[in-house]
Amino acid sequence: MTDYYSLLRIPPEASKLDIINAYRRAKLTFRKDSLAVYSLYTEDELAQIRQQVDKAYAVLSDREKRQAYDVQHGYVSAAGNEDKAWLDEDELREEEEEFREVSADVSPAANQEGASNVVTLHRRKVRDYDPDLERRIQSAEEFPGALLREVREYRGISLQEVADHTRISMVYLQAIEAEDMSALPARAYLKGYLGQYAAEIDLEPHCVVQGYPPLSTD
Amino acid sequence: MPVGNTLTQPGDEAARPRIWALGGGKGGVGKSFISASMGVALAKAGKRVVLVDLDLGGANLHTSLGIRSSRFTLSDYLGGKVADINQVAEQTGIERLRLINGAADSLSIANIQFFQKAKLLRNLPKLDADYVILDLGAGTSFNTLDFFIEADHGLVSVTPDPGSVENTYRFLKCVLIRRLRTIPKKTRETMQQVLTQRREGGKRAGSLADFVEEMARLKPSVAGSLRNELDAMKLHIIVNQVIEPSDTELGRSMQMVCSRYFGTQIGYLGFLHYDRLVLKALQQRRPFLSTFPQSRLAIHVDTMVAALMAQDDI
Repeated sequence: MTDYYSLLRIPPEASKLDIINAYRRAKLTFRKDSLAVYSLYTEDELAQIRQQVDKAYAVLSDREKRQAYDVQHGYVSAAGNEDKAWLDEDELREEEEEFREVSADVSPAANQEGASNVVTLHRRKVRDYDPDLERRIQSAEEFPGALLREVREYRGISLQEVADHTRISMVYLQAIEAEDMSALPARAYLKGYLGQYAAEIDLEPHCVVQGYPPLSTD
Repeated sequence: MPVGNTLTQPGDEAARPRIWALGGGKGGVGKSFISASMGVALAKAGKRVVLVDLDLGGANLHTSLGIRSSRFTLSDYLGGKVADINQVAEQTGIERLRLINGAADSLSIANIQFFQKAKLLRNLPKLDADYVILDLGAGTSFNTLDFFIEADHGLVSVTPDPGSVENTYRFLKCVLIRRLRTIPKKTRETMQQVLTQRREGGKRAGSLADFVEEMARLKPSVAGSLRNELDAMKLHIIVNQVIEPSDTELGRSMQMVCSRYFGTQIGYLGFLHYDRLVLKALQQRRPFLSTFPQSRLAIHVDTMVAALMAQDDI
């Protein structure tokens, strides 16, 4: 039985945020197509490790279960556990929400273990050459979300692929395409994300940042 | 007879140079580039550095530094033509940075003899320098492994592709197992017993961590010295030729895998971006770091070197 703390490579006094980050890293590290485990583990072994990681997170992320675990494994005496660095609840909720994205990205792979080795050819369906759209891209001064989406679909790239490459949350990517101001991050972050997103779909990053309507409103 | 810790023997601790070795299972992952760049970075930081090209049979560290040929090579020293190792370390045109060129068109250089290896291992600490950087060849031959093991810091360069990752793990496994060779004979016999039992029990080889754990159950004293040997190694990963932002995660992920699979802590020194300027500098036959000192790459190399120097504190 592997120790939960050493499994996630965190010290026993780790804060809740540390645990979330470590869990995120572990899930990415031991996912099915992970580069970092290449040649070391079989798929069954990986699935087992992922289960252990989930179990470790289930215990360590729950205040009471973690306390019981610590006592049971001699990390802390049954009395004084109050000095563990618990975060402000609000701050935490935000983190957890963002985190749900990442684990959502990862878990589908865990579920459909069967059809794994089949290489999906022609996954990118590039639409036929569209001179009208090409011309519009060339001459565009404004890059509203709808156009970005159109270009992305034209290039045959799924939003999930953009998210995988850039590590930008799906929520933000969807908000960028929908120009949903309430869900978009602060300007500085948005500019960065927008640039990365633009590069993924072969558009000139600074043109897109300059021509994105929600950024030019004030 | 084990060559045994000749490089890191106690004694003239303050006087002897610190030795860093660059290894890694695969060719083309940037060992020579990183060695040369770290050498330039150290020299820039005011340290006296000797680069040693130990990619025997495939030496081209001099090319990374923009040097065409040199008066002496390593084989002059190994063959006894030159008696003092300091004499084969020649100026590179960069202040405080010298190079022992490994390029020699002789058939035997790729397969140096045991006594030649021992001679080198014994004499590398006698180099008149603050730092000695060993640029090792690809692969896991004993010659490569032994230089790597004896260094103060072992650096492994890995690029974000499966072949490189696979060879890196293979290399690390060989390094750790070769390291265990220096433990006392009695301990080794006990290890053999456990290994044979495992094999007869029909178990697959499994991870090094599993093995050490099993040893801990059967022979706690032996497992202790195994752990000490493994922990004494200062290993670091450098992720090279990063293109996608997600590639930067590879280092931390490999750290996590190493601690689980090998049961040993491995440092993650940082990552270097893929940069077309590297090829350009090579084509112009100039060292990258002094040609593009303000590039993102140069700054990252400086940072890595500073982090390693801080661990050595001399």
